[in-house]
Amino acid sequence: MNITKAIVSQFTKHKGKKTDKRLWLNVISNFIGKIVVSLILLGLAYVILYPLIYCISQAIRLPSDMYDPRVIYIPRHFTLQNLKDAWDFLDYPRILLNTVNVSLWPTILQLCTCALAGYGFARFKFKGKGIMFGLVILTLIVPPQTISVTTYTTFRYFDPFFISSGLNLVGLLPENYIDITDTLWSFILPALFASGLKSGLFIFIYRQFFRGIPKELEEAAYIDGCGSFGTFLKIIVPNAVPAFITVFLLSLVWYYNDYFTVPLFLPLTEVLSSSLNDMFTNMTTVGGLYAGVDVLLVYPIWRAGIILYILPLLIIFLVTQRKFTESIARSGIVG
Amino acid sequence: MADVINNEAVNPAEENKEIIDQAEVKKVKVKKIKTKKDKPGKQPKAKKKEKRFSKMPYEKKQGFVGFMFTLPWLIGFFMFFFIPAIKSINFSLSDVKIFENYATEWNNFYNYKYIFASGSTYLQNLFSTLGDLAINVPVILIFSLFVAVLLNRKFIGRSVARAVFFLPVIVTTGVVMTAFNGASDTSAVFEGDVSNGIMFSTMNATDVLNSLGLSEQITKYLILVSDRIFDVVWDSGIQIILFLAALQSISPALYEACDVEGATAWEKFWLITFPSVSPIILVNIVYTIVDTFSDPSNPVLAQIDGVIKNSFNYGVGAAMVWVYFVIILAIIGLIFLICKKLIFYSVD
Repeated sequence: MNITKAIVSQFTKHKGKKTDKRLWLNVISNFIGKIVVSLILLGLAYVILYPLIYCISQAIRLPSDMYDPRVIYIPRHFTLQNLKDAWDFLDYPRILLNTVNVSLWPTILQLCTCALAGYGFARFKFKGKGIMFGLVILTLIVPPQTISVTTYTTFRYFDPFFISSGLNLVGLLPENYIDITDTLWSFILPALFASGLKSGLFIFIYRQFFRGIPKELEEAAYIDGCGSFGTFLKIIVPNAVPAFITVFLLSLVWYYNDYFTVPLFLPLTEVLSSSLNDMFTNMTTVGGLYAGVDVLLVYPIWRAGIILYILPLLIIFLVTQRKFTESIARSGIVG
Repeated sequence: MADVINNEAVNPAEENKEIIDQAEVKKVKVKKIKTKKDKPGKQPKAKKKEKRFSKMPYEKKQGFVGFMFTLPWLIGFFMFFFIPAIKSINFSLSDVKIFENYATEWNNFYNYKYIFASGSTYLQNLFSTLGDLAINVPVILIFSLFVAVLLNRKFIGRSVARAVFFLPVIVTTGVVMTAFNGASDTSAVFEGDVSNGIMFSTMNATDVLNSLGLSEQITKYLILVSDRIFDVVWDSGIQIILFLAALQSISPALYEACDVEGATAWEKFWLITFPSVSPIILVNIVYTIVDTFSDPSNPVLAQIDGVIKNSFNYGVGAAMVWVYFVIILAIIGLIFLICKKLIFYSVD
């Protein structure tokens, strides 16, 4: 807008005929440019929002509207029955609680331990640091599927540093391993040791951010007699809030959305992502609640399930949206 | 030293009215000092450590502290990455038998021979995944840079637009994606609403492009890309964020200088914007590759999942995964080599 004003003011100053035309052209092209940008973004935003809008539209209509060819987006008969059915079918409150359990605690642990590791890599020089950071990047590019089965065996026959074997020798354990599959430990332990879901990426984000904090702050703290850990807690953490917000949100969302590791390590725990994945099949196969019912009548309930799945994410996103977008831009992932 | 011992030795004799506890404590003290005298080099362990730490040169001390900061990660890496990875390599080289526990038996690269044998669908799936990659990476990169540049401009409703474009980062997941895709696929048949059939239909576009006289290859590529527009938009959330962050860190002074010199917007993009975001292009290429490769719904990983979950063939599954990983690593390495020369770093 400022440029436009400047150009217009220039135009009123010089009243030469040739420059007139040029400046007007500039103003017009600028204006058209803005409209084009808005149109492109509007179209792309439609691509993003379309499935959401469609899901919502189907979730709030009566089954009879599914047969009505006149209804595409705006239903003729509104109802909340589908949401209620999906709520009951999924056993929503219980499953949501499971999901929160599986995603929130590892996220909080990961938030802290990855920050420690990131600080270690950002600020200190020690032998083997380069190799260790290379290994962090390696964990980032190895697809989790590569080691999923063997990680399962590690959890199934859990024997960290032969501690379980030792306890077995002493007679405190019946076997020389502990089975920690199907317990929350299989999620908490990796997060506790900064090796949870995508933690390599989080260590990387923290490292980049901590490197951007001026060193003088820490030196001042050291001179005032603060220890390394105290400096980290009192100086670095309050200055790195954007990085913490970014990591918290991304980690929470990725744990929430993960439907690969949860069925593997916690096969008995139902969480939203995996039960939504099987929801349609579970509803319509023989023995399901909606077996034999016309698929068209099952769709609205399925869509309502999707809405219920996205809803917590949407709420978190809308509450933290401004902070999140700001903090990602500032969190210095760019380095 | 001798004085101290004398004092301690004399003390119990002088104050023999003291209660037993204290006397005992003093005896212990005397004993300790005596041992000290015997072997002056030997000190209590904790004290020794403390002394060693405080005597350390500052830099070494800082190094030790830094190592302690990364220690939890190192333990975790060892327990939850290194050991499983070694086990997995072992699996890939052996015949895995599952009973109460599991056992592995060397089988002379049988697994690797098996997956590369003629008639195996593995190679086919591998090539189709690589083909996907060849299309996805450039499209996602160009698209996300384009959107980031647009979002970086000032226009009305920018904050709303940004929120919409970051939405995929939050919601994106295979579950919702299949649900979304499936949602529109099936409903169209019943509703007679053709435009909803495929997410966005490109049937007419093919005719238009053909009539424009473009070569068939280009038309095919364009159609392929536009068929993917939905996936592309939903897959480029993180990339848009990274580019946007990079764009915002460019100093406005550079653009002002350009304005003074009378550069066009096109020149500004190629001379200022593009070199400034070039480090992030590399990051985004790697991120997109890893993201595409580790998406559980891609053909190779779906096949591996089937091999493991349905036929319990853990050895073959592990071999497939490692071949896959080596290929990813080779591709990423190649891209690093190519990009190393092309990237412009303003710092360092």
